[in-house]
Amino acid sequence: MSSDRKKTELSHSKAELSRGNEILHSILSDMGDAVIVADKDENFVVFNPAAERMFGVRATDAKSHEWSQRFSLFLPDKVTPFPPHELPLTRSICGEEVDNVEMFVRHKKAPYGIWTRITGRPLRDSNGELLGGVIVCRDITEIKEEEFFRAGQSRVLEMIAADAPLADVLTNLVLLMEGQAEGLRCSILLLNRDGKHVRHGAAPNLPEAYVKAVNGAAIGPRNGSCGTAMYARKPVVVTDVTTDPLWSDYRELANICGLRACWSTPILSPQGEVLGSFAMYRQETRGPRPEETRLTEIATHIAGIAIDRQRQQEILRQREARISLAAESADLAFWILYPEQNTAWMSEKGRLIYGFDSNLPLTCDLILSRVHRDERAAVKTAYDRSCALYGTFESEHRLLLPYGKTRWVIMRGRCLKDEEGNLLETIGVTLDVSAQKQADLQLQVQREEMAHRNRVSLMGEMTASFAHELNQPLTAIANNASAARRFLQRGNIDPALLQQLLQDMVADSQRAGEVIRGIRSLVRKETSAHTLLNLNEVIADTVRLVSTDVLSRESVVTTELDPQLPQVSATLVQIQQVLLNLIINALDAMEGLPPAERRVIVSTRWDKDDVVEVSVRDFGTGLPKDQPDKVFDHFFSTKQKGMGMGLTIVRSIIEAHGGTIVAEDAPERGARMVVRLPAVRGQKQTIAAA
Amino acid sequence: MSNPIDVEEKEVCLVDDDPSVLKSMHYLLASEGIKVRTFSKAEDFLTHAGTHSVQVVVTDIWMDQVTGLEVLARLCAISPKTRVIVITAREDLAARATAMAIGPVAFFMKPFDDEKFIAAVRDALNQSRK
Repeated sequence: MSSDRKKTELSHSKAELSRGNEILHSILSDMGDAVIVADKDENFVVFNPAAERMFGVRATDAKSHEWSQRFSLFLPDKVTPFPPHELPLTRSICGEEVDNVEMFVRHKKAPYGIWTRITGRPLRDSNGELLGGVIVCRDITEIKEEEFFRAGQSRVLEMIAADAPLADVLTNLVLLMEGQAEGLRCSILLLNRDGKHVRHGAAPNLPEAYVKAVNGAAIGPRNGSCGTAMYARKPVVVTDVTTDPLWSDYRELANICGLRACWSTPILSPQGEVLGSFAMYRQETRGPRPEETRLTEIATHIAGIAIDRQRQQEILRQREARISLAAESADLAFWILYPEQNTAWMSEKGRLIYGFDSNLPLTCDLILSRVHRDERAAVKTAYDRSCALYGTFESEHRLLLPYGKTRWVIMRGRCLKDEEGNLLETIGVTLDVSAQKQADLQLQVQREEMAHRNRVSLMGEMTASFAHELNQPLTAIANNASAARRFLQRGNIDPALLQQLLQDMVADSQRAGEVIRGIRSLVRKETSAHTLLNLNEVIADTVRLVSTDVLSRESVVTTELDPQLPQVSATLVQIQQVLLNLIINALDAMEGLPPAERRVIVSTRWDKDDVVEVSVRDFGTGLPKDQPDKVFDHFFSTKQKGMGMGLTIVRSIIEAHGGTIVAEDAPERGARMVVRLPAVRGQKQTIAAA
Repeated sequence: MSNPIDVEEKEVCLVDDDPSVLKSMHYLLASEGIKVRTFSKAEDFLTHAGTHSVQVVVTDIWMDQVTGLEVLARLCAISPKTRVIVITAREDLAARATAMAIGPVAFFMKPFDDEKFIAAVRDALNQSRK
């Protein structure tokens, strides 16, 4: 090969190489990623423009131990200088392959810093000898910021979930938002429960004077950005607070604090209720950019969750406080039974009621063992039934405590099941009603005593009837005995006749016995056994009982009875007592009338499906004109000899039977007492069938 | 006993709405051989008195439908010569006074002394024969 030809080939190679360098240079210049190449002596061979932008300086002759300081390189904590021997370029020059090392860079031209992710490779010649190293640095600032922002949101949400104080949550939220844009200031205001005034929520970077001035301000159609936004329930953008009419009241203050633009958005609860507002402030006059609008959406959403949760918790706390106060003052025990494990929990008050020590481990069986043995089986049955049906149960029973003390309690509970329908627990309360029970018993004794006296006094009113009722059979017996003696004396008695006389005497003795039994049942004290009664029969018997007295008063008692009348569940003697009181009152009311006008009508009626009505009407002077109901008062009497207790007792008896009694003026004249008692269901069919 | 008037002369009418009392008085008088006609309703007796000559009647004065006093008053009008014996189960001075004013010959509280009662009935029968 000639030397010319060699020269030509060499110049061709040089030209190709130069073109290759040009292409490489052009690529490196236009690349977004920073590319740095250094030889094995740590001299920079390549330092592209992206690298200059990223690190804020040109390539220098500094060596690797100075690089961290010279290029402002930090570990991801943003403050610790990157250790020189750990630098990706140093490691590449030493022959190491380096992947995805994150580094933080901060210098004058990038005061907020740049995040970069670096990959490094060693450079070798064709023989594998080390020539140097190359690194490629990618700017990941945006990705990192988004990551941090999301982490910040998670942090705030975690605070909410952990029930951190609302002020701390909102301050963190505001700081997070402020960290997303340069020069941004934010604040949160809370709307009071009155829906009219605001209070401070969070504004860590607004002047204190401004925060104080706004705290307690009213909302309204022209009350700054926030007050207006809450009032109108929509975002309010004020680009210049020095000119906008909404800010006329706060202009001076804003001026002092150096605030120029303020955009506010209402914070709503999940139910759409206004809870407060989130505001962004700028020191320049402008409206929000899309990224700021996005930040506002996130901030109001999170703040809404935080405030609503705090409100709910407050409501819950108040409710709990009220319940526990009520429980403490009402002698109420709270308990939870876990039947599967046979364990139980009980409030302190509950342990007191049941007589358990504070630290005694409780079981369902132990609690049941406190129930009085006479009632234990019934309580257990009711409890088991409610467990089987997942329902509720209620039981009134006695507890038998150690040392023989007894309490009356009402126990109410509800069974709860898990998602799969298995019995989880029974929760409930036990109410100590001993004191009330004692008072009830005393009252019942008093009531029975009073009713008894009333019955005894009724007997006095009915002496004629009783004398007549008793004297009739006694007369018959005396006559029959006398007749038998006379027949015997004459010695001509027919044995069949004697038999007849003796039989009649037995029958009349029994009749006299019945009369005495009737009187005794009326004056007996214990009178509370309910039975099914046909009121028509009771009325007929009672009217017969007083018939002689009615005759002696030259009066007439008639009955108008509904043959379809259903039965009632009641105590016979008490119902008789009611009827006697009403009939004797009616007779008394007519004492001043001529005998022909003295009439009492006792009637029955099947009022509605479930009510039986009994009325006693007279033709006397009627009820007291001013207050017809006064007749039921204690000691109210129009009679000289009356105690005024009769109708009071009548009413208490009727009410104890679940009924009512009213006094009304009868048509034309006189009074009508109307008693209504609950009918026993199902009796209609029985009677219709019979 | 072929003379109907004779039969009626010996007969005593009993009026009481209580069947066992009525029956027992019937036996008591029968044990003394006194003939008796019983009435459980005052109205029935008054009807009878309107058509028959009644010498003696024994009546209760407390009955459900018509009071004994009413019976006395109406009997007085129908048959003024009838001797009346009143029996009552109730001590009632006013009723007794009224009854006596109308004119019964005797007044008995139930239960009564059988001897005195029978004596009173016999007296009444004897007086009516005169």
